[in-house]
Amino acid sequence: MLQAPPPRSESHPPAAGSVPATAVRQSSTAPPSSVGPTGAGPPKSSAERGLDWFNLFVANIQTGFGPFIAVYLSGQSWTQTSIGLALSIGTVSSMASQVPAGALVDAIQNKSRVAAFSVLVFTASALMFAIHPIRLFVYLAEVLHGVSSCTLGPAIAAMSLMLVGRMGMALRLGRNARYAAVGNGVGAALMGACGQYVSERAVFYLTAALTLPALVALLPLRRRAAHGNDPLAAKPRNTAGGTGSLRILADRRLLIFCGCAMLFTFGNAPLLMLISGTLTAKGSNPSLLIGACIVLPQIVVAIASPAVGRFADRYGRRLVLIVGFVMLPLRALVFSTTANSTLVIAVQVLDGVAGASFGIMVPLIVSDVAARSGRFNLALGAVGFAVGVGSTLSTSAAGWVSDHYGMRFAFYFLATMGLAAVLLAVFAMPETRPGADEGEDTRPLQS
Amino acid sequence: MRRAAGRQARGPAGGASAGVLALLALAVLTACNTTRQTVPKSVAPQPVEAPSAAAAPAAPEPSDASTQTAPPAAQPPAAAASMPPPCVCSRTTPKPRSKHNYKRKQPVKQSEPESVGPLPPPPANTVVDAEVGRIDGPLTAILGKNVYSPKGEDLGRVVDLLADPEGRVRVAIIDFGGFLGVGTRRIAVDWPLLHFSPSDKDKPLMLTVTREKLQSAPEYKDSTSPRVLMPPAAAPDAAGAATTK
Repeated sequence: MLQAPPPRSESHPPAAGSVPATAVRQSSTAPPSSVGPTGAGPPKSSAERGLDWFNLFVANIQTGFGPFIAVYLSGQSWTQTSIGLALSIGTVSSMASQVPAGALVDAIQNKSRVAAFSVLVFTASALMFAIHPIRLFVYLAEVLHGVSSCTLGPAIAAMSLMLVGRMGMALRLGRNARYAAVGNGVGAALMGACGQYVSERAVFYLTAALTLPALVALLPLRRRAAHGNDPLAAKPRNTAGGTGSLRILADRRLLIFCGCAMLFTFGNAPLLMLISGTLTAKGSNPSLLIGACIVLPQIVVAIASPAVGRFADRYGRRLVLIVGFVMLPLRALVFSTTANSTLVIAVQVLDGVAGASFGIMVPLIVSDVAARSGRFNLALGAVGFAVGVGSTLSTSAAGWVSDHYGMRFAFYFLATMGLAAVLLAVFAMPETRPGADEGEDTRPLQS
Repeated sequence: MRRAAGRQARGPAGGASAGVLALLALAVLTACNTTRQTVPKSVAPQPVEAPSAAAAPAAPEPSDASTQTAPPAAQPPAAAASMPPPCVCSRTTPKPRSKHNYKRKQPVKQSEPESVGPLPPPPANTVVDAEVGRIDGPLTAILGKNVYSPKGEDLGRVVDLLADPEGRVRVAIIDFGGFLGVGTRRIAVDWPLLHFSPSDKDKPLMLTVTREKLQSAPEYKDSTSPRVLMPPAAAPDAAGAATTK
C-alpha cells in the first residue's frame, strides 16, 4: 500500500540516500574524478526512469521468445523434431554463455552499450524468425538470443548497481522487477492477441518493433554511463586476474545460493507447464485460464516487488528468500489435490510472491556476495547457469515422473524439490545483507 | 487404407523386381523429390510383412487378412496401384480425396499385372530410377495446418503424422490448446477423422470430433502404441470401408 503512489516518487528517497553510498565507496578506492560524474550528466531520476522503461520493454521482448516459438514454427510446417532441436540449441547456447557472458560484461566498462548491443541482437533474432524461418536463421536466431540474454540480464543488474550503488540495490531491483512484471504481463497479452487476431508471424514483427522503444529508454542511461563509473566492477579488474574469478565462484555463500536457486527452479519451472496441461484437458476455456495463470503472477510481482525490496533491506535476504521458496511446495501441493480452475488461478498468486522474491533476491544476493570483487556479472552468470540447469533438467524429469507415476506424483516430486530448496536456504544459506557482516557499509544506508 | 495396403502388398508379392522398382518409383514420386534416399529405406521393412498379406489373395485367407488384402484384389489394378500411402484415409471418407488420388500417374499400371505373383523382397537400399511426374487435383499440405471442427472451432494444428510399417498414415498428431505455447496438449487422432477440402483456402482440414472430446483425450506420448482418438467402433469402421469398395 505504501508503494501505491507511482514508483517514481517512492524511489526518490532511496536514490537520494544511495548517492552518498556510492560517493563514499568511490572516494575510498577510486580516483576522485569518479565522484564528480555521479553528479554530472543527466539527472539521476531520468536515468532511473529510463531503466524502468528498459526493464519493461525487455520483458515485453522476451515474451516473444518464449514457448510461443514452438507454436510459430509448428505453423511453419516445422516438424516436432526440428523444433525440439531449435529450442535445445537456444537452451544450450544460453547455458553455455551464462558464465562467459557474465565475465564479458564485467570486463566491459560501458554497461549500457552492452545492453544496447544485446537489444539490437534481439531485433535481429526476431526479424530472422519473422522474415525467413528457415533452419539456418532459426538456429542462428536461437543462438544469438540465448547469448544476448546472458549479456543483457547482467548488464541490467550492473546498470542498476551503477545507478544506485550497493545500498540502494534492493529497492532498485524491486523496481526493476515491478517494471519487468508489467512488461511480461502486457507482453503476454499483446502477443497473445497478436497471434490470435493478426498472425503468428506478426508476433515476431511486434517483438522486433518493441526493441526500438527499449533502445530509446536506454538513452538517458547511456548518457549517464558515459559520465558515471561502475563503482564495483571497474576497480579490481586491473588488479586481480583469474584468481579473483575463482575466488568469487568458490565463495561459499554463492555456491549455496546456486544450489538453492537450482533446486527452486527445478521445482518451479515445470509447475506451470503441468498445471496448464491439466487445465487444457479439463477447463472450459483453457487458453484464457492459462493466460490468467501467466498474467496474474506478473500483476502480483508488479505490486509486491518494491515491498519485497524493502523487506530484504529491513529483515534480511534470507527471510525473503525462504518465504519465496515456501510458496513452491504450497503451490505444488494444492495443484496435486485439485484442478479446479478458480483455485488454480488463486494459487498462482503465490507464484507471484515467489517470483518477486526470487527475481529480486538473485541479483541482490549476488551483488552482496560479489561486492567490490569486480566479478558481479560473473557471479550472476554462475547463478544463471544453475537456474538454467535446474529448469532444463526439471522439465524432462517432471514429464517423466508424470508419465510413469501420474500427474499427482509429479506435483509431489516438484513439491519435494521446493521443500529441499527451503531446507537448504534455512539451514545453510547465510545472510548476505551488507549490514550483517560489514559494519562500514551500513552507515550510508542509515544516513 | 486397404488400397494402399494392396499396393504395398502387391509389390513384394508380384515377383517381378521391375514392378517393385516401379512401385518404389511411385513411392518416391508421391513422397517428395528430396527424400529419394530415405524412401527406399523406409519401404524396405515392408517386404517382411507384406508378403504374408500379399500371399493372402492367392490362397484362402483368415478374415483378418482378408480385410487387408481383399480390396486390392477386387479393385481395378490401376486404381489400386495409383494410391499413395496417404489415401489410407479414404476408409471412411469422402470421395473428393479418393477422386484426386485416382488421377495419379499411369506408369504404375504396367507394374500391376507383374506384381500379383510371389516376389522376393527387393534389396533394402535399392535406388530407383525416379522420374518427375505430375499429380492432378488439388492436394492439401497437412503439417502445421490448423484443423477445425464442423462448427468452425479452431481445434489446434497438425504437428505430426504416424504411419504403420506398410507406409499407411494411421494417425495425425494434433497440437491443441494452450496460451502462447504454454499448456498445449498433443493428441493422437485416427486419420479417418480428418477430412480435406483443398479448395477451402481458410479451413482445408476438418476434424470431425467435438472440442470436448479432443480436449479430454489422453495426451500423445510415444509413437509405438499411442492411445488414439478414434471414430466410434473402429473395427466396424474397417469392415464398413471394405464394403464401400
